[in-house]
Amino acid sequence: MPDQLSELKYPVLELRNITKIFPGVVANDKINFDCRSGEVHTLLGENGAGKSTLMNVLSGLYPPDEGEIFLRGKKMHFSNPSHAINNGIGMVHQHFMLIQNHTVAENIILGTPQSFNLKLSEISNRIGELGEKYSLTVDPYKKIQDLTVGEQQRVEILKVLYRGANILILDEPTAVLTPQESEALYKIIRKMIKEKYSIIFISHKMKEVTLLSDRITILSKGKAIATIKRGEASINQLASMMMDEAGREEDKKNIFLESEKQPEKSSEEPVVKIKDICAQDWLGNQVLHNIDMEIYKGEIAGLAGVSGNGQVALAEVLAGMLDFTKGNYEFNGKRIDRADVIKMSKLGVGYIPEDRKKFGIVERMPIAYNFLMRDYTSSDFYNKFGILKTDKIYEYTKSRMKEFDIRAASEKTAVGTLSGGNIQKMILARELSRYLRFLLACQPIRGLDINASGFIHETILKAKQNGLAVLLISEDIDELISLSDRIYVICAGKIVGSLLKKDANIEKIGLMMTGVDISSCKNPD
Amino acid sequence: MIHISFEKRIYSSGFIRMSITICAIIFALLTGGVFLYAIGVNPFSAYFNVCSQIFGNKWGIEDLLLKMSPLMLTGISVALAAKMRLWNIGADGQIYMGACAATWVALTFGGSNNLTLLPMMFVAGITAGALWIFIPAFLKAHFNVNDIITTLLMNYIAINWVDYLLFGSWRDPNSLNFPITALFAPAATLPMIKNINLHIGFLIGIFIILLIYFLLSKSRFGIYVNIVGNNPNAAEYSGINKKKLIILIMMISGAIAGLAGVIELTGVHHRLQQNISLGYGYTGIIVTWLSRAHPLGVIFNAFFMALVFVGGEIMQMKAGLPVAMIYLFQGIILFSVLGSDVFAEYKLKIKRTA
Repeated sequence: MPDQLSELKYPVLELRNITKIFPGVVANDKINFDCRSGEVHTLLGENGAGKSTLMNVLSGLYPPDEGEIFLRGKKMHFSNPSHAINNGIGMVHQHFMLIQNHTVAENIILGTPQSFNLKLSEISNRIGELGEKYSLTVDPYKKIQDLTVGEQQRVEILKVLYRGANILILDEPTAVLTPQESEALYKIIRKMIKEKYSIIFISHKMKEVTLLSDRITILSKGKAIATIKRGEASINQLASMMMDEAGREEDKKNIFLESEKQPEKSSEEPVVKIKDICAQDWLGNQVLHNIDMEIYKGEIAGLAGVSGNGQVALAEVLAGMLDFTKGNYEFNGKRIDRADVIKMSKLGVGYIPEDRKKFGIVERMPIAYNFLMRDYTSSDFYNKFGILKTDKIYEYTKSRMKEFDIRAASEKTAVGTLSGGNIQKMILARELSRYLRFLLACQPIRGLDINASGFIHETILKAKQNGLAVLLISEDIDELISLSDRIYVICAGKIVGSLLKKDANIEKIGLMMTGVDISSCKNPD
Repeated sequence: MIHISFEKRIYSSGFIRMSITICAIIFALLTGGVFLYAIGVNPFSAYFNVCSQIFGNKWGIEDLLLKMSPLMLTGISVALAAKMRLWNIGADGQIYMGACAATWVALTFGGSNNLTLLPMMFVAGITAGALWIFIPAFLKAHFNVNDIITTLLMNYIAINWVDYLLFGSWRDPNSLNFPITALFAPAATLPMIKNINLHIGFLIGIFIILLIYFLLSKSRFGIYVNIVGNNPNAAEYSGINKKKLIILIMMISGAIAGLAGVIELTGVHHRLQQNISLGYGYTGIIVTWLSRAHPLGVIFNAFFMALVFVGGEIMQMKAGLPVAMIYLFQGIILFSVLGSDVFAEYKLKIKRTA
C-alpha cells in the first residue's frame, strides 16, 4: 500500500517501526506513519492510545527504543525539541507554552538566536507578514494576557512558523476554541496546506477529523491499526475502529446516547432555583452576573460556554464551595444563605468537578478512603468515636466497584494509579451512592475514551430517569445537545439565553457562546 | 560511550524507599568516616568501639534509650505536622516553653503532695507547648505565613526567655551564680521503669507514637489529615475546614514537643537550666525525614539518631573529639537522605552506546 501512495506524492516525513516502551507499558508498538507535503494527516485514537508518545518521539522529547525517522529521505536522530524545530518540525501544544506578561513578539522570538540589540520592529514586521499570509492576524505588541484563547493559539502557530517549521503538529487544537474560532482555524489550516505545509492533526472530534483530513491513521493500544483516505469511512465506522474490540455493541452505533424522554415539568417546584446570583473570585473580580436558572426533577439542564466564562464559579456556588454576593438560592424550597459544602452535600448535591484529579480525589489514598470524602458522619463508616469501620468500608467499596465497573487491583489500590475513566467512574459512584437530589456534572467525559464516556453518560441518564435533577456543564456542544433537555449558554459570567433541546443546534449555540442572544424562545415556560 | 539517565519510577514501594534510606545512611557514615580519618581517627575502629561501648553493657543501652525518649517525641511532633505539609521547626522552643511552664508549677506548688504535682506540671508543659506554636499556626492558617520561618524564630524567643528567668528571678540563690533553678521537690520526679535505670518518659514516647499512628490510619481525624496533606483542593471540595485543622494539628505538634520538655525536666535534670534540649527539636526534623513521616519509622530513626548522639559523646570522651562532630554527622546524614530522594523517585539507567 505505501508504494501505491508514494507514487502520488513523496513523503516528507516517515516514521518506521517506532517502538517506545515505558516501564510496564508499550506506548508505541512498531508504528509506521508518514506525512507528505500539502496534506493533513490525522492521528485518531482514544486517550492512552499512544498519540502523544509518538508525537513526543517525533518532536525530539524522547528517543524511540526502536525504529527510524526519515526526513526528506534522510535518516534523523532528534535529541531534543530545538533539534527537531531546526529541521522544520514544530509542535503546537494543547496547553499553550506562552509567557503571559510578555508581548506576542517577545514570545515568538524566545529561544531563537538574536543579536544583543533586539530589533523588535523588524521582528514585528516579519510576524505581521507571516500573519497576513496565513490569516494569523494578531498584534505583535500586545501582551499574551490580553489575548483571547483563539489568538493565543495563533501565537503558538506563528511561533513555529517563525522558526521555519514546515511540518506542524497540532495537538487537539480545537479543544479550547468556540465553533467560530475553530472554523477560523480550519481556514488557516487549508491555507497552509496550499502552501505545501504538512500538518499532523491530533483530535478526538470525529466531525472535524473527517472534514479536514486527507488521511487518517487510527491508533489503538499503541498500535497503528489502519490508515484511511478521505471519504473512505464514516464517523461511526471510525469510532468503532478506534474502540476497544471488547467494547459494547450499542456504543458502536452511536457515539452519544440520546436523552429519550422529555421531563414532565408540571406544577412541581424546581430542585434548584437561583435568581439574580452574583459572585466574585478570590481576587475580587466579579465572575457571575445576575444568573437565573431553574432545574427540575428528572431534567438535565446543559450549560454551554467557552471555558473560563464563569462555569466553574457557578458550579462552586451551587455546590456550596463559593459564597454568592447577591441573589437568591433555593434548594428543594430551602433558602441557602452561605457557602457550606457539607450542608449542601447532605441536602443531596452531588458534584463531579471539572478538574477531577485536582479536586475530586486524593491520589495517594486508597479507593476505599476516597469513597469517604463526601460524607464524614455516616454511621455506616464511623463508630461514635470517629474510628473507621474498615471492614464495612472495604465491603461497601467492593460493591460500588462492581456496580460501576471500576477496574482496579483492589479496593486498597491508590486512586492515583487508576486510568482517567476509572477515576471518573469512582467519583460518579461516590456521588450517586449517597442520598442525592441534584448532580452537578462538569466536563464529565473530557479526556475519557469512548467506552468510559458511554458508561458515564448512560449512568447520568439512568439517574435522570430516576428523578435526579442534573446540571451538565460542558464545552462539547454535541454532548450537550444529545443529553440535555434544555441548554443554557453562558458568556462572560452572564447567561446569554437558553434553548430547548428541539431548538438547539451547533450554529445557534456557537453564536450564543460569543455573547449574542439569538434564542427566540428565551422564556420556554 | 556510557550514557547515564534518570527514568521516573511509576511506583516506589515501601521496601525500595527503606532500602534507599539505609543506603543513604551507610553513605553518610562512610562520608563521616572521611572526616574522622582527616583528624587522625580510624573510622572503622571508631565505629566498632562506639558500638561495643554502647551495646556491650547495660549502662550504654540505658543511656541510648534515655536519649531516644525526647527524640521520639520531637520526631512524632514534626512528623505529624509534616503529614499536613506543615513544618514545625520550633520543637526546640516548645520544649523550652513546656519545661518553663512546668518549672513554674514546681516552684510555685513545690509543697503539693506526690499525686498532684507531677500531673500539674505535665498539664502546664503540654499547654505551654501548644500555646507557643499557636501564633505560627494562626498566621499559617489565616494568612498563609511561612510556617518554617515563624516556628523557627519562635525558638529564639523561647530560649532567651528561659535565659532571662534563669539569670533573673528564678536563679537559685545557692547556685554559686550558675544560671539554674533550685532542685525540684522529690514529688516532681518522673517514676522509673522497674529494674532499669530509665524513666517512664520512654514508654510515654512509644505510647504517643502508637496513638498517633492509630489515629492517622484508622480514624476520621486521620482521613482529614490525609486529605488536607495530600490534596488541599480536595479538602475544599469535600468541605473540610482546613484552617481549623491546620491550627489543631500544629497545636498537637506543639503539645507533644512541650511534653518532651516536661519529660526531660522531670526525668533527667530535675531543675530548669540552659541546654535542657541538645537540639532535640532539630534532630526531630532529621528523624522525620529518615522515616518519611511514617509514625512507626519514627521509633527506629529516633533510635538511630540517639546512637549518633551517644556515639558522639563517647568519641568526645575517649578520643577527645569536639562536640561539633555530632552535628557534623547529623548534617551529613540529613544531606544524604534528602539527596537519596532522587533515587526513590527515579531509576538510574545506564546505557552503553557504541
